[in-house]
Amino acid sequence: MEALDVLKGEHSALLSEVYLMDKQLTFLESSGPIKGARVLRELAETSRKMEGDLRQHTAKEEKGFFPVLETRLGNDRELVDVMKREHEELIRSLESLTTELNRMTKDHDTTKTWNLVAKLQDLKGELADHLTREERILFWLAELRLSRLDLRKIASSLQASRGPPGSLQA
Amino acid sequence: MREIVLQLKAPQTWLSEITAHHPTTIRILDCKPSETKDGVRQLVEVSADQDQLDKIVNDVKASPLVKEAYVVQTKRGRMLGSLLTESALCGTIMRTEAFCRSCLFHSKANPDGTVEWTLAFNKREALTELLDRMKKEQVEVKILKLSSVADVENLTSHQRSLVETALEEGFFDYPRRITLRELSKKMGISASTASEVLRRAERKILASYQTHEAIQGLEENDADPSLEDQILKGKRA
Repeated sequence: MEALDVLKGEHSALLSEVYLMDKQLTFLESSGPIKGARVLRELAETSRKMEGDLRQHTAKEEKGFFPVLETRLGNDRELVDVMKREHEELIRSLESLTTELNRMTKDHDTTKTWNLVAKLQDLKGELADHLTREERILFWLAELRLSRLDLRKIASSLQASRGPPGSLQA
Repeated sequence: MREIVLQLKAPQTWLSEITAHHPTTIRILDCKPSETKDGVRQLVEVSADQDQLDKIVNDVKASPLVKEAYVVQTKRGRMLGSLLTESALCGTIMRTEAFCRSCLFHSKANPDGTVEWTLAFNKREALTELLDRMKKEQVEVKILKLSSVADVENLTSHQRSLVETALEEGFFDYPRRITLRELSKKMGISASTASEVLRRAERKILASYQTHEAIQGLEENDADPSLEDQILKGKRA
């Protein structure tokens, strides 16, 4: 199940990023204006990195994993469409968070954090729910339905779509 | 491989609870042990009228027999989910080298409130361990049947479901009652995939039949009374 392990590793990395943002937001809320500006920059950087990683990860799943799985799912193939829709929603949530961070950076605003808190809470909940559903339902079905050849095909496709050094790695 | 049929008191499960209150079809597609003692993760498929589905899912989530539930609606009237439940019996099976050939959660209760549970095992020790554990868990169990079976357990669930449907629909009858194209349409897969999956499954079944014949030959030449016979005699006494 090497292919699925690679994707699970990326899930953990994405969750770590969202928890890091949560931590940075707590620092921001307890910082004064000077330290706050630095923490806000770091937060924006983590958000940008996560956006890139999330796009790369979802593209990998949608191009390398889902097409192979879809052919083996029969009546359950709509599960893949549900996961794709959740990918789009996650990207939208993260974009919305990045937009709010950009506004705060532009306005040198390190105090009005309530919008950011709400957006991060939404993202955290959506991401955790999506990853759990994917691992507990979709990956489980994949373990049951995919042949070794399918898994090898997926593994090589994931290997081929690896991002530049420093990007999301399992 | 050997197969054993046990009779025991029907356990209370979330599935019996839900199907008693809702018109629904629930299938357990697979199960795995969880980190906790007696914890079992189940991959389930729920089919019901769309207007009933939300109520069913709410009741599943609210059941004290379900510790955790994640569900995804795949189409109208159909859901897939992963549940965490507790079952000392399933937990026992998962900790021995025996495995289920029928699901305890799906077993239909007899009028006397008992169910039959079919298990398979490769090593004789697995049966001893299983019965020991059941005794420790104070599960009253009666052995109904013990036999040797061909090993088709290495079929994937996809292969098994296709072979079962093919058999039911008369794909292996002469003349065929269903064509490959019709069968594949019924299963929601392409004809070429159905053909490949069936060929692979047939190969595994035939290979396992050869092994089974070889094992039976060895057993017939075994002069010592088998451990299973001793256990059966002990239980019947």
